[in-house]
Amino acid sequence: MKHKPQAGWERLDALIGALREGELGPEEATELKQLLATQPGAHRRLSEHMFLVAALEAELVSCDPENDLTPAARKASRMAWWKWGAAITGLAAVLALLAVLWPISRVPERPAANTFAAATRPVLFDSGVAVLTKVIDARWAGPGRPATIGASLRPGRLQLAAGAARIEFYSGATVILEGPADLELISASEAILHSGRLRAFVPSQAQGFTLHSRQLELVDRGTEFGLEVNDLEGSRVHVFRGKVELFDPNSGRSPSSKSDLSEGTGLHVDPRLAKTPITPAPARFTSLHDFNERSSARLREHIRGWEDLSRQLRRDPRVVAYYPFEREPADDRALNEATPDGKERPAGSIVGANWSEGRWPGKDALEFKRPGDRVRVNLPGQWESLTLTAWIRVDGFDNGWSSLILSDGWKRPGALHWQIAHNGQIELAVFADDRHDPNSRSPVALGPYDLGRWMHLAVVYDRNRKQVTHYLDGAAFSRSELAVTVPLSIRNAEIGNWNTLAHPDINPIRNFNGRMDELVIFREALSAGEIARFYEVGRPQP
Amino acid sequence: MADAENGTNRGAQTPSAPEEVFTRLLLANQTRIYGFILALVHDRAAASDVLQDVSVVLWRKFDRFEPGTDFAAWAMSVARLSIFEWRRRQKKLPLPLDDDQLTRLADEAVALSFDFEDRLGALRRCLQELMERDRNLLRLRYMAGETMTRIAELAAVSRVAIHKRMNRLHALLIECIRQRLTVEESE
Repeated sequence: MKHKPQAGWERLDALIGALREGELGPEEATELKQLLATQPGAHRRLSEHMFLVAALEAELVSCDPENDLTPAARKASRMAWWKWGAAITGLAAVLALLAVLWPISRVPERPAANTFAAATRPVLFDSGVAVLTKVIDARWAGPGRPATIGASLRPGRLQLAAGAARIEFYSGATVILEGPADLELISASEAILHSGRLRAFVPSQAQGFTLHSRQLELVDRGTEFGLEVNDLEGSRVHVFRGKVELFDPNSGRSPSSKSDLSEGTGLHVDPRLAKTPITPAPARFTSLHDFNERSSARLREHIRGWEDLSRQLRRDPRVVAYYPFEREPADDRALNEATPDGKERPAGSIVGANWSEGRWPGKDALEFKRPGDRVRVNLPGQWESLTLTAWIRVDGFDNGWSSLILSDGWKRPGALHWQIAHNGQIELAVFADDRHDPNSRSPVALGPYDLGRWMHLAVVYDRNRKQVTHYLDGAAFSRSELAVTVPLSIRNAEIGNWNTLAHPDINPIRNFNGRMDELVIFREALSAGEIARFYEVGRPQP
Repeated sequence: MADAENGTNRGAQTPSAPEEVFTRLLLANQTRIYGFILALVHDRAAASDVLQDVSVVLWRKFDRFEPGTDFAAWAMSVARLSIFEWRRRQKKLPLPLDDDQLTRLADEAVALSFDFEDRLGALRRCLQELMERDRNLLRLRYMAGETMTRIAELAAVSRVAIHKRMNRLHALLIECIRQRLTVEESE
């Protein structure tokens, strides 16, 4: 390093160093306090030191060891003045290397080791009261529309313009909401139906589930019932099984306004709160069985749409490699590549990873879990631009880096690393030369809410525009400009892992923790529209 | 563009739940906020505890955060009070300071944090300029969380030598970051 520490700070730095290491004595503390009061810039210097510590913690957890692991770098460091080079031999060298390269959890005799990696994690929250689990052609309106299938729903209004949705309350109650409907979630066991139709399934453990409308308050006593509400006609309750209690709205459940409805009965309460018994009409409400049938039928149709797209991709001349991730029973340790003649051919060796369920029932995926899990592929060729797209399900951000697809080694112009950082940033690193930052790192894109859900990732390396663009679920969310570009060449590479080429016997753990069920590589920079279409057609639910 | 109405997309155009927005902001800014806390608390373990407490306070006050403004700046203004309170509750502090000094230190830390992302970028490159052995020393300390005594054992040198080297490395990095920021500004 060409820099030299600035003169004049030696004593202050030494005291701050002792403070940093928790070894500042009372007399030194007084001296440091004195220096802060008298030496100009001392407060700033102390702040600089403390921010450096924070930055080092953050950076060293996710740092790329590849730069250090090349033989050249190691040779260079042998010439260092630092005398421990000679001193480190045998066991000590192994230990030092282990401490640096091994996952911290693998070294049981050092319980303190992972405290700092995890220490700066803030507390995260879930203020949801229900989960949106399934939809059929749902169209949402209004500001509170749910983000994703499987997402937690917070208290607030859900306006379903069309279609149907299944909502599971944290209390255990399930409702099927049919659009158009306007449902306001209050808590894990309470909601207001402003308008529309729903069917509720309330098991005994969710008893007490309460629904409000302008005309009534309904308290469930372990049952299945239907409720329909509209402004002109008021509310209708249909009890199919079990029993519910009805009260006048805003009556504080006054006993005088209470009426019990049992199985096979129903009640119409008009806008002036006049009550008339009705005969329940189960056919007016979608049952769980019907909902599941309809959603399966719709899914089959959706899958046919994806199969069409998949056939198009097989013939697409821009495709460098298309891995549909379909298990071949005759040789299930090979990852097949789809070819234009409609056949598949083995193109990758599966190591460790197991076959598992993909985006929908019947679709295969590979599950990467353990440090050894990977698929080895070889992609010869050189390209000016590339687009990579993948359907993945992340199960955890446990490692500093989770690999999607990485060229073997690193310092080779054109080598490509596509990976996810432990903090949810997505990165495409392309090595150009030693002087330029190779990384196109997105802002934080993924978080705990994204674990366990299928998502579509894409990245475009566009050499003409000197840009890298990251996409999540069909939408571009990050673009970086490249100072220098090189033609890309993936060559020998690993899906879900990384081979450093530096150490045959020990490797940093960078396996992907999750599943992958489609990976396509194009030799061109694809348009935003095309990537959005891949997401639309391929997404897990219609 | 993906259909935002269908409920299954999460592009930038779909409003997310507040806790999801909050989580993203907190994760994206946590190092900067943690650095600010550390500047006033001076102990990594204590700063982590304070960060946990501050996270809860931030979440409770999140409805007062103005979207689109600097989340970390807001978080630091909220954290400042929590940290001052925390310091008052401690029987023993690594570095006792009076309120004036602490306020000055907090102001300096806030000012310094505004180009934190640039500092982080500069640090990334400065780390690459270090010798591998020095980088490993920092890794043992900050990634593996080893004690200085243990690092001295591993390196088979004295504790004094490790302390000296560590102090020098920190000073070098501060200088390197400073120069890189100056160069980038003038470019």
